[in-house]
Amino acid sequence: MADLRIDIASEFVGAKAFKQADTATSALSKQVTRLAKSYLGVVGAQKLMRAQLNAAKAFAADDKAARVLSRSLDNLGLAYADPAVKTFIADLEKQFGVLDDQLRPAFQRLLTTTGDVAKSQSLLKTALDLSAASGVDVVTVAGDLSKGYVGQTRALAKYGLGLTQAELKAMKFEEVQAKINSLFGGQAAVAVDTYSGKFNRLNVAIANANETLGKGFLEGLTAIGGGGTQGFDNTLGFIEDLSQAAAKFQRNFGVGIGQFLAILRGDFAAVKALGESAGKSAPFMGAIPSIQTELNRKVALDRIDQYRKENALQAKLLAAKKAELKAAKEVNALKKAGTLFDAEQTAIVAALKGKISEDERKRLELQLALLTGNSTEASKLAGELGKSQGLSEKLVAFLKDLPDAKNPFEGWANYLNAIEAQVKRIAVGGTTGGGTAAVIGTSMSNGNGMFDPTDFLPAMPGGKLGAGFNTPATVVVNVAGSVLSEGELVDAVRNGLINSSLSGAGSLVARRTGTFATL
Amino acid sequence: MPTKIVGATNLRKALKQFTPDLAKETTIEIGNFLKPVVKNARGFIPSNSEIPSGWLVGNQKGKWERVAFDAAVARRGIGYKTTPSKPNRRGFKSLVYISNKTAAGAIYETAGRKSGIDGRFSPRLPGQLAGPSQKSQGRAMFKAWEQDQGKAKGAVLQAIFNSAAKFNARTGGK
Repeated sequence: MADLRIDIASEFVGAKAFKQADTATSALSKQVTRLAKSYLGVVGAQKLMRAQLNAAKAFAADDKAARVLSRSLDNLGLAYADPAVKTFIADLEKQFGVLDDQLRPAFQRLLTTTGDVAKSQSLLKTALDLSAASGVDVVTVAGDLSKGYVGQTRALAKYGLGLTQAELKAMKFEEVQAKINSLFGGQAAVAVDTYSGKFNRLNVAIANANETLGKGFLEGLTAIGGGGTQGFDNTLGFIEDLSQAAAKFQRNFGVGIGQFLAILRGDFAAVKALGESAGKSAPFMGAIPSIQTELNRKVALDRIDQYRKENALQAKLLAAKKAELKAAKEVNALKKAGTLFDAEQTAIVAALKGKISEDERKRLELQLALLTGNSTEASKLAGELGKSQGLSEKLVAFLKDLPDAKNPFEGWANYLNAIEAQVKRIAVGGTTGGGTAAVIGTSMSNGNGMFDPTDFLPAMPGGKLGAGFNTPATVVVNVAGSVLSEGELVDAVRNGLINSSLSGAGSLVARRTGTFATL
Repeated sequence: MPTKIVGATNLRKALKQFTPDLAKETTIEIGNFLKPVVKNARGFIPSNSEIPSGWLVGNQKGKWERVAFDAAVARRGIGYKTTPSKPNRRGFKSLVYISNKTAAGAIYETAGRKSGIDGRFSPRLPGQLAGPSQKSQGRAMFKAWEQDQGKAKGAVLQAIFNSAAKFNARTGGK
């Protein structure tokens, strides 16, 4: 909240921001002025120098092209036509707004192909028309025409002449040229009147002016050197001398500063050493520094270019490998998808899910690995299976070598034979009636009270059974006393067994030997 | 409107540097002219019993507590200053001024001078607004300044000019 105040006296001192803005503006204005001056000076000088050098380069290139063409004419024995060709090229340049930098190479190609100046001039005009119509540069068109002249008409088809390859091959070149002239004749002249054509002519004028300036620059340098054939060389020598003098001045200036500082330090030995070393400085070997810098730059650029090319090649190879890998993955994926519907594999997989032995499992897995082409797994499983099989064979061999086990029932045959003989004997002897079947005594024949089956074997002489048993016949049970009927006998036996059981009388049973006895 | 004086800040610096006694004398002289106005202005501040009870300190809580009225504090808030202030946004420095610095004093000073004496607050305040224009109206400081009729202002300015003349006379200036 602004406090209430009555100002009695005040003074305008100016806002702080005003002062800051004023200071900043004036400083900026000064800097801009200084910068503008220096920029105009430096950039202007640089631009002028660069423009002069570019002009000189343009003139040099143009001069070289002209000399090459002159040499070609000379080699073809057409040196007499050199002035006429130069005039022809210059006229075409002015007329159609096409730079002589393009016209000369185009004409040279045609000239070397046809070997005829007049024919080359005619073809160059055709090339200009075709170039104006198609938009292709005149050098390329001239190259295609020169090929067509010697029968290679393939390149001419792209210009849309309305002729098939077969027709182009069948036609003479003069006919082809006539066709081109009929289709595109006058296109170059029409193009000149367009804005584009005017712009091209303007470019031609600027390029020629540039070349003229370059020529003047080089002639000026020649004049500095005294003119004549040696003038330019003299100028170059002068520039070299000037650079060496400047280098010497810089070196001596540095030595002087160093000596002055040494004097201030009182180090007179250093003063002397500096003077001597300045006099014995090693001469500069190699190119002058500016040229050396350019050479180094060129080498570095070449190296960078080479690295770029190598990198591009590596990138291409990498891309190819990636594509290959991707394709392989896709193939594998397809193969894997195909296995889902492979009946054989399905059966193996189903079998693997069942209850099988370890050996069978390994066999099935090996089959599956072979089917799916999994060589690593197949090799591993084959090894394990082989090992397993080896163990099985050993086991078989071991079992084979084992001796036969003793038959525990071997002795039974004798018993059975004895029983059979006894039964036969009983059947032959008949039965004895009125005998009483009874086992006398509680002791068994073996004397230990145990049950012995032989005790019940029939009728051996001196046997244990009564004499009645010697004749096999129907057993008749006679009852007497309180037992009067068979039913009562059964009841009496049962009751006797029950009583015996309940009386607590012990019994001894030997299951191994099949004997029992009462205790 | 304050009177604009050119070079007053430099004069003050020069006085303090070269003629400190004259600087002190000038300050005291200016103070003597302003003290009656301040005393009169403080006298226009009403006592707590005359103020609506709801505005008094102790009856206001929270955010309104800061602007609650206390006669003693409001009186102490009215004073004068002879040291230059910092320049305002338009670049002017106040050299001498009277101020009413407390919130409650400012409210009492200006309540109703823009929207009129109506509603439930400003009609209950004692004292009348006095002053030549809306921005110069008030119940205490502005009223005392109005009643002074510019005598203090003229005396202060005269004191400044006199000190300048004395300084020049002593230092051999114009």
